[in-house]
Amino acid sequence: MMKVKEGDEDAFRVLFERYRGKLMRYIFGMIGNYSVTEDIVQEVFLKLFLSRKRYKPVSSFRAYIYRIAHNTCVNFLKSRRYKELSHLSIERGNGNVPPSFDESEEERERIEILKREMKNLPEKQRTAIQLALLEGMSYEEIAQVIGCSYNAAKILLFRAKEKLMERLRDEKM
Amino acid sequence: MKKCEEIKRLIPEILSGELPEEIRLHIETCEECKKEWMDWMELKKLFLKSLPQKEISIRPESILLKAKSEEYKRKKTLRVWMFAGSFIAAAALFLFAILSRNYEKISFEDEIAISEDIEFYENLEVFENLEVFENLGEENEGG
Repeated sequence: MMKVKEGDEDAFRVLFERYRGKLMRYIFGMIGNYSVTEDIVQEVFLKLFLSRKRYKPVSSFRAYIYRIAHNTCVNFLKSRRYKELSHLSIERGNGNVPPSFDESEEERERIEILKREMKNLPEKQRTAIQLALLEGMSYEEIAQVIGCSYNAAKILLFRAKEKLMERLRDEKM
Repeated sequence: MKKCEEIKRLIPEILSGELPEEIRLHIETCEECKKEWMDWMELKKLFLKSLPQKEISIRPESILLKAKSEEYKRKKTLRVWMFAGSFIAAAALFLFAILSRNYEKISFEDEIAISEDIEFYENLEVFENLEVFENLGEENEGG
């Protein structure tokens, strides 16, 4: 990022390649719509590039970029456009994801349950568990992304995990 | 027991990396920690399968282009504001200069003239009143 700060466009391309897939999956998990996800990924990288001169080295660049993504998602979720999309009943959590042939019927059901329950989690719990599952982020980094304390991040993560596992176990019975 | 709590706390942080040997050995022997580990792994597997596998179609070039055009727009807006700001500042200075000049004129040259005028009009009013009284007296005498 320090190279990007100095205006190195190749360094920006490297960052883009490194994070685009992960950010796309994270944002899709939050929004649940593929075309909006693309727009938000673009917005995140645009914000990253435009704010490069103000960038100060932080302990975790990963947490820094995910914080931009998180805030952009939260803003979108509060926006009128999201309400309009929800009104059109665009399904969150499965958007344009076709079922894979590698999955058994039972597994597909469990994936559907997980998607549904993810959607029902409070926003901060959803963010915390997604960051852990996608990136294996530390509590410290999760706290930086969400903007809460270390202990709050720990609690958010465990509550989310407990809720999801509870639902998955219930369905299994 | 304390070790179990510590390991359960660590599991989410090591989901994406390699399982440290010490933790692996503990998980193999501790049913509770093994269950915790399996839960997390199950969640991770299902979650990753629930996400789209296709790549995004955006290219970094389009973002860089957009960023440059945004920066150009910002610079242009800044220039317009700077021009407008300096124009307003110049106009304000000009106005201030004119007003302070007029104010000086009044204080040094016209002040005496104005006070003389005031005195004149006050006297005029006294004379007019006197005239009215005189006229009234003449009318009374005549009547």
